[in-house]
Amino acid sequence: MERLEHTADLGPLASAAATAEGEARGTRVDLDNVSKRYQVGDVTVTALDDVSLHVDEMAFVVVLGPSGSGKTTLLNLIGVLDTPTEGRVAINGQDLSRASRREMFDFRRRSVSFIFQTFNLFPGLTALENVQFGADVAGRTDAEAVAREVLERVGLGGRVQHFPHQLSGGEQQRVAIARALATENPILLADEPTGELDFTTGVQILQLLQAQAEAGKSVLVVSHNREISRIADRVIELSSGRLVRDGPPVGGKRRADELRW
Amino acid sequence: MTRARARLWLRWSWRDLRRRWVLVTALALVIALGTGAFAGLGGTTAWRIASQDASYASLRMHDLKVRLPDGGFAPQGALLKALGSLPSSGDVQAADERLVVPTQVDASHGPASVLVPGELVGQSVTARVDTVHVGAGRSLAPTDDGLPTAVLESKFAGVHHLPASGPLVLSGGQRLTYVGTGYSPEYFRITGHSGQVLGDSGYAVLYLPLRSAQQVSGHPGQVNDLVLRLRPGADRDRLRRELAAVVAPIGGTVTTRDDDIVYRGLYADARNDQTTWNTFALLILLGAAFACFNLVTRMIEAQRRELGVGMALGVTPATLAIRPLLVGVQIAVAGVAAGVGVGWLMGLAMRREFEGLLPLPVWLTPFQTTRFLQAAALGFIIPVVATVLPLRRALRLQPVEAIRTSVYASSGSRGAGRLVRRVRLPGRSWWSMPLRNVVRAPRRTLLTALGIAAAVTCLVAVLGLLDTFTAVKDRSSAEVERTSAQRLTVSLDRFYPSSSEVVRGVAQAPGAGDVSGSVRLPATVTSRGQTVEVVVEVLDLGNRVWSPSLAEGSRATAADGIILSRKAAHDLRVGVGDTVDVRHPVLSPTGLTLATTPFRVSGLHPHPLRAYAYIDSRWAASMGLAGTVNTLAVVPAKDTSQSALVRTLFARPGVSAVEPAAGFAQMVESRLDEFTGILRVIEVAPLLLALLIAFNAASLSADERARDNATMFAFGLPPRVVSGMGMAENAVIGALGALVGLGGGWLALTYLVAGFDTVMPEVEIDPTVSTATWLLTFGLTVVVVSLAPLLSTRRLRRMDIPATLRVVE
Repeated sequence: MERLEHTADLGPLASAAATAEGEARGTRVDLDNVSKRYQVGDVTVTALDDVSLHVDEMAFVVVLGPSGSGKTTLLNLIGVLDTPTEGRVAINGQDLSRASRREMFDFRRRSVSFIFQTFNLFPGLTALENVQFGADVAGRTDAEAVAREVLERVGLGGRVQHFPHQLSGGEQQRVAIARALATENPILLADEPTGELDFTTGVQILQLLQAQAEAGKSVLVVSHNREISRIADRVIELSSGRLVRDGPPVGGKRRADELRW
Repeated sequence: MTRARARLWLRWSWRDLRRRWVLVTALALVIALGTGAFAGLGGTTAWRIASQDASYASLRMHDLKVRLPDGGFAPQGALLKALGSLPSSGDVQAADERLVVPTQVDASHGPASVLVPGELVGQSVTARVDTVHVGAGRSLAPTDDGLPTAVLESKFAGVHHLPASGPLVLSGGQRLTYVGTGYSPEYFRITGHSGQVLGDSGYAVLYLPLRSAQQVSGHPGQVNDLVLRLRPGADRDRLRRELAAVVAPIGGTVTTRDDDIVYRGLYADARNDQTTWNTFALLILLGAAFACFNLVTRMIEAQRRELGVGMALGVTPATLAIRPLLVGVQIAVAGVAAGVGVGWLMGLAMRREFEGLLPLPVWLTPFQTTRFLQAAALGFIIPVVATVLPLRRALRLQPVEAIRTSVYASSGSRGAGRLVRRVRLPGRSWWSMPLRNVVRAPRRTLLTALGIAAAVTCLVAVLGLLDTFTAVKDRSSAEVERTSAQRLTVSLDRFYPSSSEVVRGVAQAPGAGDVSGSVRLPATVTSRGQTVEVVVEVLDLGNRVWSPSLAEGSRATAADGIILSRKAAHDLRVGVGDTVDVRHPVLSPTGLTLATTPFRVSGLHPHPLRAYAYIDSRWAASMGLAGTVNTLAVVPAKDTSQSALVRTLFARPGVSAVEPAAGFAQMVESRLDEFTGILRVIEVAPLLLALLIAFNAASLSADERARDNATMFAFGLPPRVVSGMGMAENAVIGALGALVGLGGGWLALTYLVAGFDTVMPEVEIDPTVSTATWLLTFGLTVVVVSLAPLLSTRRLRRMDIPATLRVVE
C-alpha cells in the first residue's frame, strides 16, 4: 500500500516542516504586509489588505470579524491552501508565499491540521478510521493505535466504530478535532468550529481546543462570535480585510465555563 | 406563467446548460449511442429484404424449376413441349431450358493454383428467366452461341483475384474463355450440388450459351433443367402438380422458388440476423437507459438543495421542475440529434459490410424513417422520464429536508452495506473508502454497474458469436485432420471397382501416399417421425487413412451399425443403441434403386455437420456396393505438397473433384472473416458506451465528492492518491458490471445461437465463449472503467480548495 513520502527535497519548506516535527511545542507564523485580491468578473475584491501579524508558539488565537472581513482568507493563507497576492507568509521563518503546489501539499501534511465548521468527516469511514486518516496522512506507522488514543482523549473511546451519520454534531466535531490532533501537526486551524453546535457542546469543543494550545500547539480559531474571543490568549480583529485590532481579549482572559451566548 | 417569467426560466436553464455542457454532451452521447445503434442496426433487415426482392425481380428469378435426376437428360425442346401441353400452360409468362452439369475448373493464374469443383450452366443468351447480372467485362451475346465462351461467377473471381476476362481449363482439358464476371439468382450465395454451403472460393460456376455448354460438356442437343416464370395471379401449385405429373416418368422433380436453398436461406438469414441486430441494439439501448437514469438522477439530486430553497421561497413545484426538465429535454434533443448521426454512420458501415458479404445486383438502402422515428422517440423519452422520476421524488420532500445536508446520503446500514461497511482493507485508512463508497450508495452503484453490464453483455455476445463459429471450425478441423491435415477427398465421376484402372491410377499417381476407398451416397435417416438428410460414407472403419472418431459409443462395436453426427442424433431424438431407418440407394445390375434398412446407431461422431454419417464396409454387400468405390481419401506422400497432388489428381481420368478434406473448416473460416467485419462495427458501440458511462459516473462522483476531496487535499493528501481512490472505486463498479455483463453475455449468446438452429439446422452450433474472451472482456472493462477518472484529473488538480471547502452544501 502507498506510503506518502515525508522526506522529499522541498527546499526551504523541508526545514520548516522538519522544525515543526522536531519541536513538539508549536511553531511561529509570520504574515508581512499580506494582501489577497480576487477577480470576480470585472470587479477586483480585496479580501485581505496589507495585513501583518505574528503568532508565537503555544498560542490560542481567535480571529474575529463579520462576514466578508477576510477571516477565512487569513486562515487559508496560514494553512497554505492559498497564496497571497502580495506580501509574505512565513512559517518558522521560511517564506511560503511562492511555494509550488507540491510543496504546499507537503507542508500541509507536515505542519497544519484543519477543523471545519461542517466537520467534513468522510461519511464512508468510521470515527476511528476518520481519525486514523489524519495519522495516516502524517505518515504515522502506528496510525490505528494513535487514533484510538486520541479518540479516547476527546471522550469518544466508546464510539470508535460509529459512522459519522450515527454521531451527534458535537461528537462529529470532536472526531474532526481528533482527526486534526492525530496528525500531531503543530498548527491547528479551526474555521467556525462551534458554528453548527449548541452552546454546551460548543463550549466543550472550545475547551478541547484550548487544551491543545496549552499542550504546545498554535491554535487559530476563526469566528464571528465575539464571546469566544474571551478565552483567547490573543484576539485579532479584521474588518473589510484590514487588521483593526490585535491584542489580548478585552477585559482579560476568561475560563471557558464562564462563556455565555 | 407570464412571458417574462418564462424568459427568466429559459435564460436560467440556458446558463445551466453552459455550466454543465460537458455532462450534458456526454449524456447526450450515451443516448446517441443507444438510439443510434437501435436505428442503425435495426434497419438492415428491411434493406436486405428490399434489396433481395429487387435483385430477384431484376434477374427474373424462376417461380418453378424442373430438374432431371443426375445423369438424366432430355432432348432440347422436349421439356418446353411438355410444358406447352399442360392445361395451365397459359399461366406461364416465360420459360427457358438449361443444361446444368458438374465439372472441374482450373482457374490457376500466375503462381496461384486454383483447382475447384464447379458447374456449367448452359442457357440461351436471350433467356428471360434466371438471367445473369454481369458486373465486370461483358455479357454473353448471340454471337457467342456455340463458342467456348462463358461468364464466370463473380464472387469466385473476386476471391481468387481473377481479372474480368481470361482463360479457364475444365476437366478433360477442355479450354474456354470467360468474357465477364457475374451471377444469377440461384448463386447469390454459393452452394454445391449437394446443397452444402461451399463458400465463395471453393466452387466455380460458369454461365455459357446453351449450345456452348452442350458442346463443352459432351451433351449436344440435350438439356436437363427448365426454369419458368408465371404470370401475376397464376395458380403456381396447380401448374406445379401438372408439371410434376408430366416429368415424373423421366425422374424429373419440380421445385418452387421457395424450395431454392439460397432464396430460402437469404430471407431466413435476414430475419434471423435482425433478431441478432435487435438484440445488440436493445442491449446497447438498455445500457444507455440505465446510464441515463443513473446519471440524470444524480444530477437532479445535486440540485435538490436549490429546489429546497425554491420551495422555501414559495415557488410552486411545477415551476421548480422547469429547469431540471429543460436539462432533461436538452439531453434528449442533443441525444436524438446525435443519435440520428450515429445511426446513419452505423448504417453506412453496416451497408458497406453487407455489400461486401452479399453481392446483389440491386442494393436498396433507403433511410429507415420509421425505425429512426422509433429511436428518436425512445431517445427523447428515456432522458425525460429519467428526469421526471427523481424530480418528483425531490419535489415531494419538505423544504427543510431538501435543504438539509446529506438528506439522500445512504448510510450503507442495510443489505450489502451492512455486510461490507465493516470490511477493512489493509494499508492506509483511505483505501477502504472506495469500497465503502460503492456499498454506501447501492442503487447508484447498481444502476452504473447495470449500464456497464449491458454494454459488456453486448460485447460478450459479439465476441461469443465469433468464438462459437471458431469452435465449429475447430471441431471440424480436429475431426477431419485427426490423421493428416493434408488429406484430400477425391470424388470419382461414377462407381468404380476397387481394382479398376481409375482407382489404381489415383492410388499410384505421383505424390500420392496412403489411399483408402469408400462409397458416398445420399440417404435419409428416419426415426420417431423425424427425417434427416445425410451423406452416408461406406468405408472400412479400420483403414489406415481416416475414419471417424467417436464422441459416444464403443470403437469395438462401431462397425455394427451406423455412426451419426451428434446433431443428427439430437434432431432424430435417438442415442447410441437406438434403431433408425436408413433409406439408401442399392446398386443393382440395372442401376440404382432405393431401399430402407434398419440400422442400429453404433456411435456418434463429433463433426459439427449433421449430414455426415458412416457405415462400415461390412454392410457394403447388402447395398450392392461390395468392392465398389466412388470416393478416395488420399494423403500426399512425403515431400509432396497438397496443391501439387491436387493438380496431379485433377488430370486423372475418372476424377470429378479433388478437395481438401478440411474444406468445410476453410469455408467456415472464410465466412467467419466476412462476418467479423460486421461484428467489429457493433463492437465499437458497447466499448464507447462503457467508457462514456464510466466517464460520466466518475465525473459526477468527482462533483459529489468535491468536499471530501478538498478535505483530503487540505490535509495534504496528494492528488495522485485521490485520483487513485477514484480509480479503485470505478474498478470495483467496473468489475461488478463486468461480472453481471459476462453472465448476461452468455445468456444473450445462448439466445442468439438458438436462433441459428432455424437457419442452419445442418450444423451443430453450441454457444461458446473462449477463456480469452472471458478474460479479455473482464480485463478490458475493468481497465476502461478504472481509467475513466483520469479524464477528470485535470479538474481535480485545478480544484479551488478554499472555495470548495467554503461550500456549506
